[in-house]
Amino acid sequence: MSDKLKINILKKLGRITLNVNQSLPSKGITVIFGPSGSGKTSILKLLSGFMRPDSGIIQMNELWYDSKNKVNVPAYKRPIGYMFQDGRLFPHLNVLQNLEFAKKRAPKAMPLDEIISIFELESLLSEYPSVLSGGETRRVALARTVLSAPEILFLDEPLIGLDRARKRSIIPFIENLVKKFDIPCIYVTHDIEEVCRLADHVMLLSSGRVKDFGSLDEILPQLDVATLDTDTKLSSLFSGMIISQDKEFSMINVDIGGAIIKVPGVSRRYSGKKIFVRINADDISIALVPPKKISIQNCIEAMIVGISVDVQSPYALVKARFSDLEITARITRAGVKSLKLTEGKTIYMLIKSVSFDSHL
Amino acid sequence: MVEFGPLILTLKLSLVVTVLLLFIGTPLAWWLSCTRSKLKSFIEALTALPLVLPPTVLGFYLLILFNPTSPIGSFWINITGESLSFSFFGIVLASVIYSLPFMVQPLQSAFENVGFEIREAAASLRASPLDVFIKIVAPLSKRGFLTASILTFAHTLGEFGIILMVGGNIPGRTKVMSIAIYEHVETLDYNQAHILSGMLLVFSFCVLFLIYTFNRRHPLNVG
Repeated sequence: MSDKLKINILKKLGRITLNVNQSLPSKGITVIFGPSGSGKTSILKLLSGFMRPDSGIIQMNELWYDSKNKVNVPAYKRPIGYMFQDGRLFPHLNVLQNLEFAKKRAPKAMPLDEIISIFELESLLSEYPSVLSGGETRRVALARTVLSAPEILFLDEPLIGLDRARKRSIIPFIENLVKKFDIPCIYVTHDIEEVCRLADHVMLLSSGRVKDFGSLDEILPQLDVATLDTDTKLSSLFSGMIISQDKEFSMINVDIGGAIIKVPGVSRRYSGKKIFVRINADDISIALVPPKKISIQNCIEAMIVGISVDVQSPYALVKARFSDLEITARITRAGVKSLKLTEGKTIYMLIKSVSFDSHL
Repeated sequence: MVEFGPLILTLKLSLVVTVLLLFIGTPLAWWLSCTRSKLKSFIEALTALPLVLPPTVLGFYLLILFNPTSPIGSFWINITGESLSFSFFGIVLASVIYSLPFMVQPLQSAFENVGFEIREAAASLRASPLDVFIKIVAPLSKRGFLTASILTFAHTLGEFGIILMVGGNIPGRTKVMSIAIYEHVETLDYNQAHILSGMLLVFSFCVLFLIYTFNRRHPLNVG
């Protein structure tokens, strides 16, 4: 059983200064989440020894780095596994040779055949990296990293550049390997779906500083607009509980903070299980009285807690609270005016569509 | 009557220099490709110096260094009993210095082209720096080694000025092809000059042609 990974480091990186003082759990997946340029990848590089902090301490069981006592264990002597964004397979070695490279240098023998079968690489063994697809490259790189028998695994946006379908096909491999080999894992991403799907703990990073750290449930409400990249749609994210399924109309009733939401789809999960629900800000309309005779199934009574208007844009963001949860809607500025929306007003939010990941 | 002496001596010199430079140039190029030392620019400039200096300048300084009264020259006489100037070893040493950039520069850029990314990946799999070099960087730099060796070999093959300065024109010891040709032209023996020049031309072309053909038939598995 390995110890916690203790980090207390300072490193100047161009415009931002990375300042992290945090102990990371020695079990499960800890996701470092934050926008591009917040220093996520740099943390992994500092931990693995590819980059040197300006000062501080890094310790897991043994001391890896200590600026005061001039300790700096080189990367190849740290018991880490590192999977890079692009896989970084050795181009002159075929898949099997890439895997053997890792196995030969591992401090303890890992089961090569078993790992090949877990990652479904049997048919690829004699291929060279240049002919592999993006998804295949990631699977080989994951397998190679595991074969080096690391005490801790660093995954640096391992699914970046893959389409949704392919991402979803790789995620189970990551879940399995962490469970099966019981290797703690630090996972860097700015994809909210990966966070919801994989994280046990989340470290929120913003401009080089830890904004918050905690279990997924604790951090989830904060994974809002502000922390997202522009390519992600404006949306609110909730953790909910399945209470019942309507098999006839293929709808699921989900309880989020006391409000019941009907979500189209069939879940393989049973009632009482937790799922994640995402509501896009553009899919919400606002009414002042509960509407009747309307096809929209979901209507939440909420109280406005904030309206942000940008005069450059025709749209306004309306933030409202129901139970103790917050939800954001994007409507036109004209709509805000004609309904005379102000803070403290009670509104009815009509939700046109709700998405949730059936894998979650 | 064709004299083969200068041809054989030239090939021997080029081969010895190329092999020696592979041993000297590889670690130097590797160091230059990885280091963040402040000395890097200084060493790079020093290595490139033979590219810009006239061979006579380099030859002049080497002649002084090799002189039996100088520390290096007298040291050489003490251990071998022979003078360093006007000897085969003298021109080998001079050629090693003169051809150094032709070995180091292609190797350095080949090593740099492998990229720190792949080196990091190997290090994360617990490969030590030497291990990374032998198993990853060197195989990925195959073409760089080939190019550097050809350039060094060809450059030594065509050397003239520095050998004339340091080695003179002693048959069997320092009289290489280029110097033999020069001598024939000086003595107006155009016939012999033609034969030797033609041999050098055909031989040089054949070597290059073979290597380019080989390079085409055996592409590396690098995407």
